[in-house]
Amino acid sequence: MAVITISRQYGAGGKTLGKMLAKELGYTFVDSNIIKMIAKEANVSPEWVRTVEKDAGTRFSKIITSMIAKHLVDQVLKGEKGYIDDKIYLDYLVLIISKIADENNAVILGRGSQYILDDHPDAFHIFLIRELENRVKFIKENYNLTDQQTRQVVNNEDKRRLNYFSRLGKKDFDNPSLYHMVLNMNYIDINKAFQLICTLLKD
Amino acid sequence: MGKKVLVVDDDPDARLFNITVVEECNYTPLEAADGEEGLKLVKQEKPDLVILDVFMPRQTGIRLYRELKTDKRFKNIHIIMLSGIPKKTFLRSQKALTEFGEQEVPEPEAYLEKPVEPGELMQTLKQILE
Repeated sequence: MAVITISRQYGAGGKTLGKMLAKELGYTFVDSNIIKMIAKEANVSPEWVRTVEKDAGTRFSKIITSMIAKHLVDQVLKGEKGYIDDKIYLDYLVLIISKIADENNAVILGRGSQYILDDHPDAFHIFLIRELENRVKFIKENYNLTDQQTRQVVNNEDKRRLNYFSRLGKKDFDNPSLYHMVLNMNYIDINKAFQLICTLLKD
Repeated sequence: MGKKVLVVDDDPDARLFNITVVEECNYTPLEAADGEEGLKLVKQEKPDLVILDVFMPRQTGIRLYRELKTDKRFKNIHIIMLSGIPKKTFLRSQKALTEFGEQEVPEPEAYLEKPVEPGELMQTLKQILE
């Protein structure tokens, strides 16, 4: 009975490791499927949630949110019965992650779950780090992209994450004291990381 | 009919159940289907108590709860949270929002988990309002 949160630098192998752990332990793997859960509760499309998540906290989204009244948004988005913005997104996110954790047996990838569950008695928080060049190599190998495309994706994703945590008022996500285990993926491979986490859980 | 009780829940059956209990207690029921509509009614009608669900579209019960607890105009309004979400999950989510920079809010006066017995809701309403 545990809940594992995996935080990582993009390209450090967090998704692959999370899936391996979930499969081995028979846990639920929570990644982008949380978008669908939020969309269902907010009664909006997953695309709308994705947009809010992507733009959360940016200057553009703040201006738009402050300028456009909800009834005008409703007129534009006639097919949508609900409504979601930065704040409502965050409400659902913390509720759904808390709910998943209290139901136990889950591996949750990112989305500030290490903060939301920081004092959860059954939670283990893992952080994966990796040098930029190795992250580029990992993404290139696993996602079939060119070198230039990969570098752009990694840079964009690094910026997006900084922005995401900045929106949450958190800039210390790489602070080791937040985690039970920090794994340097420059020195160990996915299989070793998997073994180390399994050992941590058993102990 | 005496004190006003606002029921905020997106489930029509849950609203009907809660309103029936409110009427049985001789309070005046008001109803809203989401947090946004609930906040409008709070401003217009100034209820004595709000029975509030957590998961709702348009504006969550969490958001309305925080609005009511952080706005001085609403400080005298009592709140009963009534949700399928366990209390510890609700409290964890509140703590997380505070950690993410939002104002700290107190725990709700009463937290009931669905399904609730009519007698338990009735007793909680009376304990708070009388």
